[in-house]
Amino acid sequence: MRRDIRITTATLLVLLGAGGCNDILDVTPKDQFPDQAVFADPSLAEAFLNDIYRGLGHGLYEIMLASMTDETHFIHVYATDRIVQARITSSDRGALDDGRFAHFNWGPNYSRIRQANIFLSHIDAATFDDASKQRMKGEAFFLRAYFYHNLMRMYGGVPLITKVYGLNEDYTVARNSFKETVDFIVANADSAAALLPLSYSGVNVGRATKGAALALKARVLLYAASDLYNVTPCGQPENCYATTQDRAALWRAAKNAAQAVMNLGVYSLFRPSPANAQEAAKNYGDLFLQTMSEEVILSRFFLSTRDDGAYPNRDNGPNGYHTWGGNTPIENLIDDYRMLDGSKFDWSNPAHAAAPYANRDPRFYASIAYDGAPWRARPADVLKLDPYGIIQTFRALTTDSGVVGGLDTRDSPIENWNGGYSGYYLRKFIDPSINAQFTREQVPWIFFRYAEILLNYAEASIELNEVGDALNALNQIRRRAGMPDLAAGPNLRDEYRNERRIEMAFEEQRFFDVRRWMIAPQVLSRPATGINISLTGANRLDRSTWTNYRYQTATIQDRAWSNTSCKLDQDPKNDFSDVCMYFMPIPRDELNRNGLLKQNPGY
Amino acid sequence: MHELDGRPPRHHFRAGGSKRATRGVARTQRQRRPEPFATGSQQVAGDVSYDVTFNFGHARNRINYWDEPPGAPPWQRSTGHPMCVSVTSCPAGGLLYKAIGIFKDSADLARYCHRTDARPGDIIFADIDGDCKITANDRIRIDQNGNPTYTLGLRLGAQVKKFDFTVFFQGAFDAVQYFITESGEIGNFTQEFAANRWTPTNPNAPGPRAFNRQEEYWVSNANTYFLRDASYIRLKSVEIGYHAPARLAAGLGLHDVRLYANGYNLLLLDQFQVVDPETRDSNGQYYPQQRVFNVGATVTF
Repeated sequence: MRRDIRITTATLLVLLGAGGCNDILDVTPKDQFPDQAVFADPSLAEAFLNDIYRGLGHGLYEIMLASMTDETHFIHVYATDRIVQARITSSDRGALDDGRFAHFNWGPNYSRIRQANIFLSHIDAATFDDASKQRMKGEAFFLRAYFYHNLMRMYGGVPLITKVYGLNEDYTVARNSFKETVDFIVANADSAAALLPLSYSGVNVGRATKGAALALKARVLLYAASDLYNVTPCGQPENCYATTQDRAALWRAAKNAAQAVMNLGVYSLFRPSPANAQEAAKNYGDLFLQTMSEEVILSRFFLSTRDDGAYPNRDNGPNGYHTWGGNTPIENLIDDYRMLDGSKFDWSNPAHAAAPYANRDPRFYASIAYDGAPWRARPADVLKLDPYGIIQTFRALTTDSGVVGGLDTRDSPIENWNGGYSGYYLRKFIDPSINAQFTREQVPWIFFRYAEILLNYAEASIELNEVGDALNALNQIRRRAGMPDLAAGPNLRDEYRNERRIEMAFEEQRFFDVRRWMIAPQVLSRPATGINISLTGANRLDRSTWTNYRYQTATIQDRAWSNTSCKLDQDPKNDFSDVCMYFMPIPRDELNRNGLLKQNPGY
Repeated sequence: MHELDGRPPRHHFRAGGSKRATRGVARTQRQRRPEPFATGSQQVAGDVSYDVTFNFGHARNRINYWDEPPGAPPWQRSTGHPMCVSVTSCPAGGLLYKAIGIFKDSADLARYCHRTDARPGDIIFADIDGDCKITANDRIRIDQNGNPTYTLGLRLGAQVKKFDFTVFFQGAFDAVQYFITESGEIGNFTQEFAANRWTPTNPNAPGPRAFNRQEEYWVSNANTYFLRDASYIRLKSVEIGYHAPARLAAGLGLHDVRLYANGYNLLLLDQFQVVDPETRDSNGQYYPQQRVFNVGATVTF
């Protein structure tokens, strides 16, 4: 038998050989396409391009950037604790190394940049129609600029790679300066804007537009004009401008870039003129549930049937609805929601302290699930404990028969391990009509929206002391939110910063804003606080008997901006004081691979 | 495809053969190294016949060449080592901190180079590169993973008159599994962890302090403390059968009746103890293998 097999095999080989060894054995792989085939066919080239878009990631993963700043507390931890407590090092970067932050990380971004470089190196020679080629080329320029802008926000200046490396090349390369990095991103965004259309139709909606490229440019120029990158003297040019810049010119460039997006005339605020506060709250909430709107400049869509990691309703919903708690808003943020009349909320004001959730900025009601907030009907098995479908985050309801905790707390009879500590849950991005326990919602993630452009424009205008322009932009947002206009005055910058905090809450902005404004040492060193609510009542079922509400804030998580661990490797030659945590550490493995990489100060 | 176009492939592996061997013909003679093989023997002696089948597999792989980025410390390089075949069987890409004990107290803390956030009750990570800082360069490469190097099966069968017996053993050796539960505010610890845990009043405990989720550095940074020996021998199945007398079967209008009883997963010898050694989930979230008993009859018409 064995002999037979050998003979058969030998015969086969001879037969194959007769056919010409090279032709037969040098086959085209059946599961992938060679470069020539991809760039000869617009569909294949587009498929390759589509895959690069995946590198944009999104902000609706179970773990959100909001939990690494003074917006939320992540009860699932996932090593977020060592970021908000300033304990990260280049060897232990905590949650930053979580795969769900790939869009902010070194390796994944460079993989995507390589894809974009491959695309750009072939597209000019592609053999299909020029209109498609130009559009796709614009998209690739945009994507490359976007990846670099995320690296810039996290690390400062980074190596600017435009070539496609092959095997056995020298891969060591030094970081470019912050200035070179900004100039490169802006140039790429300009190239993209020149090639991209204003809008798309049908299945192409969601691709990068001219507006997206200009919005990216506006964001990057606003960052570049900010305090963080203009410290003097500059410690290392990877992190700031090496020479003193004309700040007014930088702000002017930022303002002009925002103006360019406004001048396109295709974007406007979603439902800009609400009739009353209730309508304003609904409008603001609905903005994030729309598949598309006139406010959206670039967003990522999801299908509930596909797992792209976006399950915001399940991941962040209250435990009393069989959902996971997740990223829970903290009192630090809650207190920054102004009163409906525009005044500051103040715990020392007895009226405020007695009813902290009354008469607040309408966006509060659309962003935060708080004790007493109407929500959807309870799941069938919880209905007997709460027939109203109202959020319960009180700690202690003293009844005739004893003390019970709210259904949405850690003292709940329902899945208490998913209960939050702060007394708040995420409301923004969550559609109450969907049963989050079982069904994924399809809300998009918005990368750029028109409100950010108005805010960018306002910030640059304030810094240029062009207050009229600033108020004009800001008050469009205020009116949409159902809030009174802001006015000129010495507090305008602080009011603007608070406005941006509230309007853009949980949208991956605050983490960077507190750094570039250099207010992080103050705001990120404050402990995360939550609310302790106690009350009395006849029993847990009859809300009409509940009374004597008392609200007391309490620390739920220690936080720090810098500590000794963070300063472990601090370079004494660096006079950029308190640098730790302004920039994220480059992973140790990357430093090992590329001996020319310089670490950020403080790690 | 782009990387490969017209160039040698990135990986050259030397495989030691498949893990599963077929029963029957031995086919190892021309191999240089121990290879999967199976051997069998059947004997008949009067009313008694018995058979023995044994199979044994040896599977190893080694990365002979790939374009591994330079710069990693020599003790972390993967060239020349087995490849990580899957994330689940090979935690943290095979790079783990080396756990060398538990900090008993603050005096103990002072005796070792340690992380600045280390406290008594934490796991001691070895300072491999000797710079007195515990960094990612101190991780070591672990060659073992969830795929056992050796697998074996042993089947013993016997027929005595109308009775037949079958016993089957299965085993795997030289395998490891990472195991740490999600514990603290989300749920409990294993009894083993609780019993071994360090407390201020039990500073000589063999294990670290209780923890919450990933809040300790030795939870979020994979280390050898949680690496378990996943070798085992299992009595996979036992069966006893009895053929009813032909007369009785014929009386019922049947050709043959065989009554049998069998059981699966009857016995397990392992070091792991806490969860099944065949689990490949580092949190132990694995549906356990069940012990199953069957009683039945095989009827031939």
